[in-house]
Amino acid sequence: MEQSAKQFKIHLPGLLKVLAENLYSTPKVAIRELLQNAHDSCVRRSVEEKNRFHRPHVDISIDSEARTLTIQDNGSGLTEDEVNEYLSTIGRSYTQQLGENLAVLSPEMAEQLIGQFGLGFLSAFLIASEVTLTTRSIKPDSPTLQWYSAGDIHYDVKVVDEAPTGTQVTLKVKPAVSYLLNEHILAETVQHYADFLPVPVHVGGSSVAVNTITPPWEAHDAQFATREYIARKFGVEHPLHIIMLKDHEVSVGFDSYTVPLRGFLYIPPGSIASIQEYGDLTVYIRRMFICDEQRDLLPAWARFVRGVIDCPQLQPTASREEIRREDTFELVQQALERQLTDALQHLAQNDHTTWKQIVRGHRDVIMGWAAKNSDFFEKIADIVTFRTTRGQLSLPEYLKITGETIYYVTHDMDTKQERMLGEGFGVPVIDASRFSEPTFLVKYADFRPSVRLVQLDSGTNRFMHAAQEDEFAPLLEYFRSKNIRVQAVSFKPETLPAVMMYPKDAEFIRDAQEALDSGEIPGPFAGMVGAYLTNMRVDEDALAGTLYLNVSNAFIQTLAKSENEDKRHAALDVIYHMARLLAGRLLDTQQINDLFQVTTRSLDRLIQ
Amino acid sequence: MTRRYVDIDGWFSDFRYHAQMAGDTQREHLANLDYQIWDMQAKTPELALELCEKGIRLSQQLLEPCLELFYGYRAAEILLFYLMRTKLALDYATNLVTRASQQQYEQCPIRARIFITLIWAYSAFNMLGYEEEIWDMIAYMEGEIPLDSDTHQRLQGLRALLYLLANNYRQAEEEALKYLEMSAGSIYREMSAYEMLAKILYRSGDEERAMEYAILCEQKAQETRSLIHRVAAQLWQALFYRKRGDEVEAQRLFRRGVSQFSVLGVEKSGGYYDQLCRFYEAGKEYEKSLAIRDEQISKLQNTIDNEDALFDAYRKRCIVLKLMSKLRLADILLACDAAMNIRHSEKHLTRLAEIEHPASEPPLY
Repeated sequence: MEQSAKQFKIHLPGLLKVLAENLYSTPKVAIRELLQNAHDSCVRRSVEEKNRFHRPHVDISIDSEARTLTIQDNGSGLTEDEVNEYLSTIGRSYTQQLGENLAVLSPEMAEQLIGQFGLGFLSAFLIASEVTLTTRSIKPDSPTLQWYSAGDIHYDVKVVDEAPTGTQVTLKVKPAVSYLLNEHILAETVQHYADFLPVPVHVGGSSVAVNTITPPWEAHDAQFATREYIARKFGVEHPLHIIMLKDHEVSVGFDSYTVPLRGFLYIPPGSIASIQEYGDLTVYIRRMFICDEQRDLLPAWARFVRGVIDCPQLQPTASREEIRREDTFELVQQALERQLTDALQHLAQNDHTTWKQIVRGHRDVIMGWAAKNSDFFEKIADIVTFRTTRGQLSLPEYLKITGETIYYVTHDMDTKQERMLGEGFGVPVIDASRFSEPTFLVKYADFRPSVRLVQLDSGTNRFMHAAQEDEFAPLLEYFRSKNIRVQAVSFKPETLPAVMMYPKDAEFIRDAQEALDSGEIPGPFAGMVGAYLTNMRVDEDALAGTLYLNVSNAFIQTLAKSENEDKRHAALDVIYHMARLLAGRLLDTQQINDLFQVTTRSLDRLIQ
Repeated sequence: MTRRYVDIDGWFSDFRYHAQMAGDTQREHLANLDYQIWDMQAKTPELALELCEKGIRLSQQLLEPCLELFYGYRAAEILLFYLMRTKLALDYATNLVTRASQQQYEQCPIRARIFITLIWAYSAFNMLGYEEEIWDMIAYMEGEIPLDSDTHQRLQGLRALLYLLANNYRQAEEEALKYLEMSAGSIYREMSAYEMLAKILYRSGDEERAMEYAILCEQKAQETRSLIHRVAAQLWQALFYRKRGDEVEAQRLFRRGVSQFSVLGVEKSGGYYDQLCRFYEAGKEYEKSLAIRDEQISKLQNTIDNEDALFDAYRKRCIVLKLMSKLRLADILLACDAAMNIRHSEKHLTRLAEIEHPASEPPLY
């Protein structure tokens, strides 16, 4: 066979079907695309006509009986050549060419143009079985042209009666998307995609534009407008902080250039009642909505931040529903991280109240990231607050009280015991019961080498000092005779006669043992859990708890000297059970009930 | 008889649906939390862990015990597969199994996942040392515990790994192919099966087919957007290209794999170290491989999280030293020392003896 140059054949209906149905995620983007074209046409007219009285606008109307939807603009319209070259050539972008032309006449206006791929008009067939476009160019002596296609390989162009300058696109709406023949839905769609389009869009002949037009960051009082916008759009009435974004200067060698960046970031309040995780942005390009819940632009640690940005240099994908990851994407990431970090640093230094609210409200993500990222850690280490027995304190505030030692527990400080022991020495105790908190404290101790860490719930209590047993032998012997582990120690507060201490994993060990004994843990898993317990090398006696008698307590001293054995024993029973209650661990309701019964009987003996 | 599976997705969807219908934003959020955890676990596992903890607390607050177990299980998975905190994961998983065994959790759809997490924890901790127990647990789960489809597939995958551990490549391949078949329709599991097959076939000496599976694994990893598996697949391919003599392609894939790993927030696993060292050893860059092993050992000595990881690293260090003809008794003794306190150390030491023998070829790993 001889070699010859041939051409690809295109099955247009099939291509239209693939592009229209698979490129876009929702049929509503057709409205967006047509609005975009209308906007670009208005921009062109503004540049070419230079008529300061021209008021661009877009009107959307529906005819429910005819099942048509019409989008009309008073932009520049199209000539016959333009209709043939751009309208009917897939992949040939009218706007891109227009932009190149306008770049000479008016670079600012050229920057406003949105379309670029030459696919936008195609999207009309996503929702329409037939498309009729009527257009009259602003160029002198231009006829009014009507272009028609039913979505197959053919289209018609003819001259029709004169119409106003601009373009009217009428879509014969497919039955499957007839819900679009609804003014309310159309208005919502316009507000979703084109809320900030700088051309008013009217729906159903309304005199009021349905779009906001001016984004809040360009309003006269940008802060106020942004706050209102956040309340309306995101349902957040009182954001903790708002950061207005600004252009980002980039240095490349000896040159520098600007990445234009508009919009805002905000920090929502966080609370256990309405936990939300954020770290996402709504992205606009040239005031046209691209996507929301974009999570890759903000730094990974900024999960407590949300925002809206508009950056004309970000590049959308062909469907214009996502952002391409390329150089500008990274620059915008850097800009956002920089501006966010600077704003938080400023807050931390100048507005402690707000900073504490932020850290408190979004503590988990802030702590989690700080434990991993040393740079971020250094920025917040002295600022983040911890739950202590004296309320929320930052570590520097805490260390001022304790003198370079951090006392903490790793289980929830529901019981008062550690609090009392710590406070007895005049030190608050930190509740570090969440995942990242112990790691954070260890990292802090590395960060500040003079700081010492003392974990209070590791089994032994650091606040106790061993005491001579001789004087208290009768008391100790009584408990030992009842197989209660007991030690004589001294600790503060001296008002406490005794405390009960259990090993850290006592609850788990008890539950596991009970589950094993009752046969609840199935099959070989029982063996694994049993082996695990064995490997823990649990001191069975210690599991039942150790009673620490406080020899500094006046009543204990009195008891030690008391010769009335019966009353002494009754008093010791009460002290023992009080200590168990104070510890609050390993007690179920039945045991608490029994405890009160025994205590009542002991008290009865005491008063007789 | 066709097995009936527990429908965890359905359970979650129902929970979410009812929350939405009731306008219960807290429960809706509780159900949606897992999406964010999933999103974050590879890049910022610490934050993902924080979210798990949030899920646990919110579940407690809303009195949803099954969801509390669910987020506990997710936390254990993150500890195990992304943070490489195996000991902590084991502690956690044991705790969860104890709770999940209680009567009140009998109807929880998530029970099987709790149990398999314990199996995985022991597999990561010391698979050789707990080999018999792991087999028993797999058999028990398949016979006695209502499974969801994903857990059943993973149990099958574990079977393949156990045979691989025993150097029974034929059986390992058979089980892995069964895993692949069972996983049809689950892109994530298919990806995992392909990766497993790449490793098995490499070990059995069939590098051509191993390469095919590595490529398939990468394709699936792109679909699932799992960067961690993409890295693994690329490093496998880099190895095979190198062994074929295509150094350009080998270097390209190797650099890409390493560079992509660097953007992840996960800790380097033993498997990752192995992939780096295999690549270097295939190109006779033994010094580089040795440096990697020394780095691995240094990290493991500071925080011993796996029972046999340190021994395994020393053993593989002996392999590279043997390749360099520099293996000394002192190196062997270091490895023996690391085996001292691990369960069934005799099994581990047998593998060391295979390297030690002067006439033996260094084994593939």
